[in-house]
Amino acid sequence: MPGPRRLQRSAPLRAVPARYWGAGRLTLLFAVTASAAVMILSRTNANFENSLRATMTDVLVPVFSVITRPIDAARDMKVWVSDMAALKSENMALKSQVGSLMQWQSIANDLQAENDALRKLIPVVPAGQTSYVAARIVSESGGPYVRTALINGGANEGIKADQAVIGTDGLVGRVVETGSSSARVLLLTDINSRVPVIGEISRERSIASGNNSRDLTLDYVESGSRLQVGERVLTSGDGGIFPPGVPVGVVGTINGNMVTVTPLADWTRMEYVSVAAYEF
Amino acid sequence: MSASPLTNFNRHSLRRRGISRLWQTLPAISIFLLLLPAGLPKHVTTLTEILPPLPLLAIFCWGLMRHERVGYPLVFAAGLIQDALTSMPFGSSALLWVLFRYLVMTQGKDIREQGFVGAWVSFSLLLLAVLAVQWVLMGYYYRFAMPLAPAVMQWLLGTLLYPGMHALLHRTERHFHRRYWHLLKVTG
Repeated sequence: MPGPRRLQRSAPLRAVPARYWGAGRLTLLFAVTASAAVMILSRTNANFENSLRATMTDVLVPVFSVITRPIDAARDMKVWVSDMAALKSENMALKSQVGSLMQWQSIANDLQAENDALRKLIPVVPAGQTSYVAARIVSESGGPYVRTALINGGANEGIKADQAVIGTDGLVGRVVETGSSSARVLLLTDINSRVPVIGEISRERSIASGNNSRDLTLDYVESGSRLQVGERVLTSGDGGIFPPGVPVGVVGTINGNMVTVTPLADWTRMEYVSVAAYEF
Repeated sequence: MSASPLTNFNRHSLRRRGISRLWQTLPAISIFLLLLPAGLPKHVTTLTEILPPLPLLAIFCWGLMRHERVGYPLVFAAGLIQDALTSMPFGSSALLWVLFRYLVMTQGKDIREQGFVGAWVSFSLLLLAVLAVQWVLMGYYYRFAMPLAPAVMQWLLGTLLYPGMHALLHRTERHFHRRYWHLLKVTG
């Protein structure tokens, strides 16, 4: 007959064997050597790093896609409830906005007709064509050093490296790696991000650089620049990666040559993005 | 009509095997599960920017409790996944985590003898060392002095999260021992 259960429960833990797989000196040596080799190869051979990262992200993206689905659904439900609560006031605001937009539409139609007529008179090289692919953000890099996101579209959907990624509010970043069904996006705020921009009113050209903080800084701003606080900054199209005219941010502070720009893209609300294939 | 003794035996054997397998893979499962928060998009949480490497909490705790189940290949693989998720230079987290695991294993006996507070302080110091090396490595890699404040936040958050993780993993381990001691005794 077995003894009292409580006595047996408090039996000493199983002794750890002196030798076991995976924690010996040889395995340690192997792990350290493999890590160092991967680090060195990644640093010296960009193709090795890209293919390894792309393979791993192709595996990780479906996992995160599944994880974030229910979270997104719950969030959408919350938004739906708050939208319903604000329906009446929002409806009134939209009605008044429609009135003013109708006036703008009429002006725009006139300008379009005038523009078309003038284009017929002067031979103008047509602007570049842009096609879009929509994708969902399934993961963003954690940690304080890198700002990237993974999207659930890749080479199979025609996404290539160096294509611009645009959100509902403005530019998000550019594609830096593509797997077969996933792609990595370097966000505007990353330390390695550089975007040629132009002031919407001042037409001052500069480069918007990320610095891992929430704001961007404008490089190569001339002294006595006509940029103003609150002015929108758009992509200039220089370099041929980003299509021209995509909103990037709003000038936040100007201190001599030091200009900061607050990105228009709202990272906390962004679920879907468009990947723009721009041919200039 | 009652089930045949053979069926009962098979069922018992299957259950025993399942629980035993879960028991053996629990450290690996917890380490891989703790990798996931680092990749959550910002529309889910904005904490990821200052989130410490959570798997280090599990590697430390399991390294003290059941270090035979936290082998270097497992830590290496987890580090590589972390690098893929966070866009860190490939192999950097893997290398640092393997060295972290080595320190936990070699100092494990001393840390265990100091009790909970000793383990907490030890974890905090080891995490500080890992984050400091990572900060230097990233600065060298990108040729840019990385901001220090987020790394400090990571360290503080990691230190604050330790007691919770310690309690959770210890309770889980104790639960397994109490509930399934008769199965684990046989299978190990």
